[in-house]
Amino acid sequence: MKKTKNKKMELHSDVKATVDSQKWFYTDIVKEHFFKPKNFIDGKTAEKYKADGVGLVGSPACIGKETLIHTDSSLMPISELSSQNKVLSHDNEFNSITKFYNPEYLGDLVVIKNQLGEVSLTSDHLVYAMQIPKNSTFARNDYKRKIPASWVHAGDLEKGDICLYPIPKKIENIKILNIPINKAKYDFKSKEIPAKIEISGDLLRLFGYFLAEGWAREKRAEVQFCFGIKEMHLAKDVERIVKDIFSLDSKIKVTEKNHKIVVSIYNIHLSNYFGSLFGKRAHNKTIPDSFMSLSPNLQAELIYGLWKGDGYISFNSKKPRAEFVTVSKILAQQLKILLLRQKIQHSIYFEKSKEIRGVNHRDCYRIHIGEYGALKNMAKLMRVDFSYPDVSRISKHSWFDDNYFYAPIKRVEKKFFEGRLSNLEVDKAHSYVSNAFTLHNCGDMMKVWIKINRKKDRIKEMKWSTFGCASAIAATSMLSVMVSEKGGMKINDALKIKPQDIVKRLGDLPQRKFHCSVLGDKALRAALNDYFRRTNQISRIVVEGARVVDKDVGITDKDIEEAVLEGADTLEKIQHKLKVGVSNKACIPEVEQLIKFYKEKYFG
Amino acid sequence: MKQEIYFDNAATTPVDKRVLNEMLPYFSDIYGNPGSFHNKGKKAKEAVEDARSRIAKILNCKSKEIIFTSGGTESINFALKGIAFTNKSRGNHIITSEIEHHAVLHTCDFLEKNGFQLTYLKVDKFGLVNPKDVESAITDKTILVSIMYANNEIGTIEPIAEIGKICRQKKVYLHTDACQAAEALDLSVSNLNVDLMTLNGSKIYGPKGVGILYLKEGIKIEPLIHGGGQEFDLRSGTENVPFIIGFAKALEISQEERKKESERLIKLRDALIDGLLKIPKTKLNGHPSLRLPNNINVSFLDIEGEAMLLYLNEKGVYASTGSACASKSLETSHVLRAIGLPYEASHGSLRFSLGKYTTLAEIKYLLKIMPKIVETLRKISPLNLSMEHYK
Repeated sequence: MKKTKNKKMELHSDVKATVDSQKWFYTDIVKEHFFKPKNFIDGKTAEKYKADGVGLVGSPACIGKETLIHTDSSLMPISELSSQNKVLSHDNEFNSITKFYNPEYLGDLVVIKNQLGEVSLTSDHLVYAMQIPKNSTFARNDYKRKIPASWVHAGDLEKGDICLYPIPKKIENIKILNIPINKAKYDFKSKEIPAKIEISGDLLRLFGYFLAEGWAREKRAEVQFCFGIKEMHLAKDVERIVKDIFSLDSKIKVTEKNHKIVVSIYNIHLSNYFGSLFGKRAHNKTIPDSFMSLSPNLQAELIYGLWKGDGYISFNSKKPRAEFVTVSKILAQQLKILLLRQKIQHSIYFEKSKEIRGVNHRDCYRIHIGEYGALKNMAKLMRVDFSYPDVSRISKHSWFDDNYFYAPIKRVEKKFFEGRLSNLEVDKAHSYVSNAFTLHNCGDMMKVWIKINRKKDRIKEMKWSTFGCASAIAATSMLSVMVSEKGGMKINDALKIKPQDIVKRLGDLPQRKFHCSVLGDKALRAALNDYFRRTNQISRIVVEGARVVDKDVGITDKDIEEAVLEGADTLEKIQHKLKVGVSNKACIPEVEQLIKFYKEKYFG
Repeated sequence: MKQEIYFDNAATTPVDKRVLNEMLPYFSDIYGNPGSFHNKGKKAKEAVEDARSRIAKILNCKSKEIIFTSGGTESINFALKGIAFTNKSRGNHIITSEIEHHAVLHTCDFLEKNGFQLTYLKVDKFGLVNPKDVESAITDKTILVSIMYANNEIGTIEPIAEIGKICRQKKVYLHTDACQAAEALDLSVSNLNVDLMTLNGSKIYGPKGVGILYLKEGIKIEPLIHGGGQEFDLRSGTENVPFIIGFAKALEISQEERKKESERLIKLRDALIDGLLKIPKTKLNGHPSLRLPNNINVSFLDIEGEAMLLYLNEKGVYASTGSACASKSLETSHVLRAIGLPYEASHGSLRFSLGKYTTLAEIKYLLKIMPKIVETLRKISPLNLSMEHYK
């Protein structure tokens, strides 16, 4: 094997650069640390290891804390999930969460939007998607359905690529609902309702009406439904179902003045039950979890009731459509799932509160159905006729199969973000589903554990593990030796370790493998930050920031650092890689400065 | 000396001694320029033409349909650029696949920059091109289809004859890169329905730096290299006589021994695949049966390919990987990406390509050391991927 010691060959500088970048084999010290790595730790030992600080890098793939995640019980913001929750994965199953992450982040996020919603995430996060070739005419049409889906970095996704949304398949048909009845001691007159009721289409339709148009007033022991003046048939439907199932009488009152029909049922047990089942106020109304996995046939009745209440269908105009408006964020997301299970595609819009003709409208969510195929399914569900001859309204760009809804990306943007992000690690399928598409969970590339001598402010021990190549393994092993030898390194010195210090101790590394050696010291700094945080030394925390250099293309100084590490050492090569300063020429001097700075930093 | 086990025959093969012996006289003895008028030249010329006719016999074509080049990359550049620029007035659409060799893909990039429309066909999870996709991709602007005969990384054998039939019907030229296929598969151009075919010497136990382009009679093509008008005015430059002789001999030997050798290799290949898949969390990449007899490509989850290569190298075993860490561009293999393999599994892929000097003992040795290497690296790795996701 060739040995590449520091021996300086007398070559012209241009030639030398090429020779260096082609250099491949490792020095003896690299090999020694690779074959016999020092201080690494395996997964089981790591679990018991009492570290003062833990740091990880390599896959900071994360999403915004508010992102809604599809769990086995409704949708929840990722930051509120617990290990009790199971999340929907791309295998259409619900899987357990094995780990939570909340790393600090400063830099650009990618914002990806499709008809189901938008999600902000780091550009290296993997999304389950189909990349549609943009310059091929025939891939624009039916052919694209044959393109295999794969895990694509968010930063590589473009408008027109297709995201996959798994349709939850679990069907658990509960047959009987138990109604908890707390009878007050002094209550002798309330009519009792059955303690067990059977789940039926009628019942679900009633629940639908209630979710849309009803409320429970427990103080007045009243359940009330409110319909429009022309909806007597719905009022009669409620009356019949309540009589059939609960053996209770309803009172129907028509108020011409308000154009309303109010159906009231006076019963304390019923109002308690409805209130506890669906939420009391309009903006926190939700469908009980157990109903989300009923068979689609039963769920169709729930949708029917909901839509008759808060929905709107118009098949007569030039633009046939069905719409549903709710102020409950969760209800909107639940309805989305119900509709996807019916293979009814739709879009969700968020509308900010506004004033129309003196009336305040609260923040609301609008579900819009306009696609021909979806309307056809919707019409069947709502038991109305729909014959619309315009085939051009059948979407070629979004579609269903048995497992997924395929939704094209409408927009990709970048936005600056500073703060904490979230991520999960998910058992088995290693993926989870947000409100808009499917994401891969994170995987650590490099993880570092440290023990600190607090009195002396020195590192006592550094343990690590990595999914990395030979250079990463050797460099991290060497780093762990450097910080723990001779009684341990002072924290302030450890913070100053640069990749080239490690490379120097290793003898040398091939130039394009430099960026592997950076992982270790980045993870060490993250672990030290973690230690500072745990010990409340907030002022010592060093956040590695990224600053946008070229606004047109969203390139940061970190991007340039990364490119230099990968061997782009001239403006030309950087531009070839990053397109920085192509349209925005004003930033070129700064880019050149940065190239010079990082070249000196890493390659001396 | 420490034993060396060479499992990288898809990268290049050693020169067969019989080939070398046949080449030797043409360096300092029969060294004339085939273009010269005198006897020294004539002798060289005769040797080149003899080589040409021997190759033509194997390809089941005419001698004048064989053009000698400097290797696979040149033949591919010649075929693609030549056909493209010659037929510019007829159309500007070219079809190829996502899993071609970089020689094809980067030539296509160049053509795209020069105004040609490219369609890159997707492949299925085994790496197969669907002939129906070729058919539906052809438009009245299409001038050329270029699909490889067998893939160099995962060994998948493409249905070239079937694709050829479609191209014939639609009157579109078909080029195939047969560099990897030459050792194991039928090279008769009439069976394959191809119009252009690339072969090279360095994969068939011949010398590096020589190859051919089969060009069907009557196809007009613009040369890539202009000069003295050698090779029917299509590829100028003094003929590389010893290498041409070596190439012909190598091709003859490999086609003669093809059937027997393939049978032997398939047994070894399947033994190695079976053995490797016994290691937990491993996955075979490529097709289980429509596969070159010498190709094994396996992903080992949770660990990285370059690190495995280095361990193997230390034990004297030479293989290759689709990991980004071992590539110049720091990107994972485009072939593994095209068959939908997640990037972490591509990182952990190894390719073993067997050759005619591979023995069962070597396979057994690899199977003995591999589990330990995997175990060692998995201990260091923080990942613990589940196999389910990769089935």
